[in-house]
Amino acid sequence: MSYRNKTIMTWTTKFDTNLAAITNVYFGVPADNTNFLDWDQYVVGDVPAAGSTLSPAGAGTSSLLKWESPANMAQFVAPINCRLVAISYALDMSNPSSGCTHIRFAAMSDSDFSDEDSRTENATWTSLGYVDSTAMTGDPAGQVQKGSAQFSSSNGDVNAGDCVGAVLEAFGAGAGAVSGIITMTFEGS
Amino acid sequence: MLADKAKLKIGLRKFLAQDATTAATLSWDEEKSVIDINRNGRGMTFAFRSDAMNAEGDYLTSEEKQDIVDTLQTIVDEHNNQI
Repeated sequence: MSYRNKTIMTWTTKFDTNLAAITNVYFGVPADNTNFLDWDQYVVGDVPAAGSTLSPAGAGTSSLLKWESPANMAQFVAPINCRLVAISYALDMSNPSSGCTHIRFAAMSDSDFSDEDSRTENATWTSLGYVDSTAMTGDPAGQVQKGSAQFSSSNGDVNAGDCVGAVLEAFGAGAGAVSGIITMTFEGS
Repeated sequence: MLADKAKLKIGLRKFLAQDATTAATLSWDEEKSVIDINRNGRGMTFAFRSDAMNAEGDYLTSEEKQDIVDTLQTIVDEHNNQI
């Protein structure tokens, strides 16, 4: 189908969170939560490099579960095969902790997601790519930031039907209350 | 920012219901006004911003924050006692 090749698709979402601790990867909550833009759920771990999978510190039943891919993490379902080509963000950080150096915004996908999988199987989230916010030093004041990154790697490839979403992680120290918006752009392939 | 106790309770109950077999812990950082619930590597964070208000639109007092913490702790205790 010729329309797919090079088709540009953009997804965007607002969020509000509190990145209270480092080595926690934060993501959204299900849409039936009363505050579904409040990204207050986390798994202990780190955002992996592009092409690598998130490895939760909690084993077994406390790992990511299959149903959480569509219900929590995903903000976008790829309608066609496509590749992540850009991420951008804008944020309002009200009071980051002393020592907080930056926030990482990562695009994740569940490519191991098939019809009729049990909802309680462990999920595997793969990093498509990420962008780090502007570096800070010392005890940063409340501030706003914006930024973007572009990609041209097969690590960003997703198949039609894959769940895609964003996760957040603070580095150095907690980033505190953060509100903002994330936009991702995909190119059909 | 609305910090409705009922909504926080709902969010916590939904989170705990995801796994009825693993105990959870609640920690309260009063200085940062952050509540953290952790269940073996999975968790959720509630935080009161400086402009946090109750459902009536009044700014939260320290006593109201502590009441919310105590309420959420009770829910965590109920969850743990059922394991």
